[in-house]
Amino acid sequence: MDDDKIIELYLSRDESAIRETAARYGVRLRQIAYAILQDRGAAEECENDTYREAWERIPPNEPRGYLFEYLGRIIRHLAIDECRRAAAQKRRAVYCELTQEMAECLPGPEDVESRLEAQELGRILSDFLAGCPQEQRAVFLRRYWYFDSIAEIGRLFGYREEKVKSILFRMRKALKKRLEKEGYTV
Amino acid sequence: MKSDDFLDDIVGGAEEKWIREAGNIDGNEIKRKRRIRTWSRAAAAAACLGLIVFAAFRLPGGREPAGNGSGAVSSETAGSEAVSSEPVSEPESPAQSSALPKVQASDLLENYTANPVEKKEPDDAFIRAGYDWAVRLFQETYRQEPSQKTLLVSPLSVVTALTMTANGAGGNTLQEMEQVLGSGSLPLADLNAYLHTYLKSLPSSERAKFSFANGIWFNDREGFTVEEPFLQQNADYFDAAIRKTAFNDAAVREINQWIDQHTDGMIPELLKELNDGDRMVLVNALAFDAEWWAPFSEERESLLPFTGLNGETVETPAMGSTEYWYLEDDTCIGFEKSYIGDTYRFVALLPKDEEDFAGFIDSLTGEKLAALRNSAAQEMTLVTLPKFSYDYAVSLPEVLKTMGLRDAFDAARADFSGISRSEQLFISAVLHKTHIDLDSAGTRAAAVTAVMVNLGGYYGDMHEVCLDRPFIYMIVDTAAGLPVFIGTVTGFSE
Repeated sequence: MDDDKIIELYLSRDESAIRETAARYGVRLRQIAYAILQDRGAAEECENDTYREAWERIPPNEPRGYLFEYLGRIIRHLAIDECRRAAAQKRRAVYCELTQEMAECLPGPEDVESRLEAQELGRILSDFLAGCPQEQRAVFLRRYWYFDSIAEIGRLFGYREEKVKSILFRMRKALKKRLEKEGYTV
Repeated sequence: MKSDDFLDDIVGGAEEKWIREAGNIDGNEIKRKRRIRTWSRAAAAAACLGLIVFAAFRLPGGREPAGNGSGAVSSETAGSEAVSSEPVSEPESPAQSSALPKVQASDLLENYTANPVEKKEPDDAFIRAGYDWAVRLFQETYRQEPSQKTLLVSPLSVVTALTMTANGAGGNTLQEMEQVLGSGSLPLADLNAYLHTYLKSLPSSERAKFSFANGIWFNDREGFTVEEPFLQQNADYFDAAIRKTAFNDAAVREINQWIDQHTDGMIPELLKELNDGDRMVLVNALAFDAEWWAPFSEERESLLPFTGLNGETVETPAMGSTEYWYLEDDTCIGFEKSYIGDTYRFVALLPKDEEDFAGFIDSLTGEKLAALRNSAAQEMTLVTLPKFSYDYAVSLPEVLKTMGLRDAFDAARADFSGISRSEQLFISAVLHKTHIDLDSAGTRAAAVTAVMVNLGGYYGDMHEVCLDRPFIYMIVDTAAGLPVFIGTVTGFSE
């Protein structure tokens, strides 16, 4: 069933919307959660929570034309939240690794909160990504949106791991420079 | 703002178009374009398969080409072998790949840069046709398999190679190809678009890897010309590597090398020779290499008494696990078992009638198989599965003729004027070779094993599927649900 029909089911409060969503996007959503959590059971829990949240949000939201990305955002957020909650360090390992990488190009907490709103940061990131070559942009998002491992990205793009690390390092550096240019002291 | 907030809120809020772009990255295309081989054969892989569909063209009256019958294929017979411990080669780095002898032929790929073409997402029509095609190819191959009846075919590989060929067909030859390949419902234009989209959509990750490659070699013999639209069409839809070369021993080595590379070393050689009459070789290669998501328990490894089609019982190494997708209809029981990430699943079907395996295969239809998979119930199932490993090679012309593809193999009737107008061509051989190696290996077992333990309390309600007699298995993708591979295990040797 295509996205529009699924959204219509949500709008008409037809519970088969959830079944159809799971059939169309369940696997991909689970993959996102699994990449973050590295735990099959937890990924499945996040997937179920995503359907529940989608049920509550649509309506009023009508993510026509971007249903997968919409659901992807929900599950990504839920999985990150789960990481924050989880006491077991092993579950946090992937996430910690990524936040440490990201910390390289970000200011201290007080700086950002005082100078830039999240919305503004989002705009800067958008501009930054828009100016990147397609492959580099995809590498960045595979790492920081989809939470793929360096090795997985290497496989996907046919790069050695060192090259993936190098691309990401250069992009973080460029992002840092961009933030500085926007008046942000890193 | 903390870095994890940035990661969550700001990166998480990246524009949809870029999320989609990154999500739809086609690794196969990128890698193929770079001509870099990145795969390695993981020692921990639980299953690895490779296969080739090969279609060789020759002139009427020419000698039988290398590809006729099984002559050109290493003549491994269907797998009556028990588990074989194939030596695992060291992972090959791109640098090592580039150290391979360079291709000798003129590489024409640059002249045929793929143009953007219509995409057609897999829908009910494609899935229905895909199931029909898979079941009919499997049934007919089984019927014509003379002895052991243990086989493995890839419907996807065969349909891809033949659709590439059909792009040069005309008249009744084309009509028959559309009828057979599209199961009577998909014209060639749709097949091109569906396959183009579907092949690119099949996921590949570090631990559940899938790749495909298409290649066309044609003879640089004077007077033989190939129609440009045919080559362009196959470059556009199938990203085929196109090469013009003298059909000599060097070309045989080159094609075998390409096959070896694109099957990740699992099929090191297909061609023995090329003859004067051969004009074109079309190849599709697929490779699949994935780890189980929930590995088999070492504690449940055993020797399983397997009663083969010939009635003989042989003890064979087997493994056990608890699975969560149970299948049943009036004719069979079975289960589905996920590979890492659940992008692909192994599906096993055991007929209820222990005496009539052939009858069970005859009774299958695409619709029935699709319905069976759709009815999969999330119920705990105790599974016992023999380890197996085999190579399989089959010459498909008779199978395809029985399915209705007749003119293409008839030197007098074939119309491949879309390939060349300088000479009258027909298909002289379609070779299909596969390899599977299935065992218990896997990594990252702890987390998933824990899930199994947690659910142990339901033991009393479990189904049980013990594959101790002939069974059918498939590797399916979980998005469209289509069988990428389908095969049988019918017996083991002492």
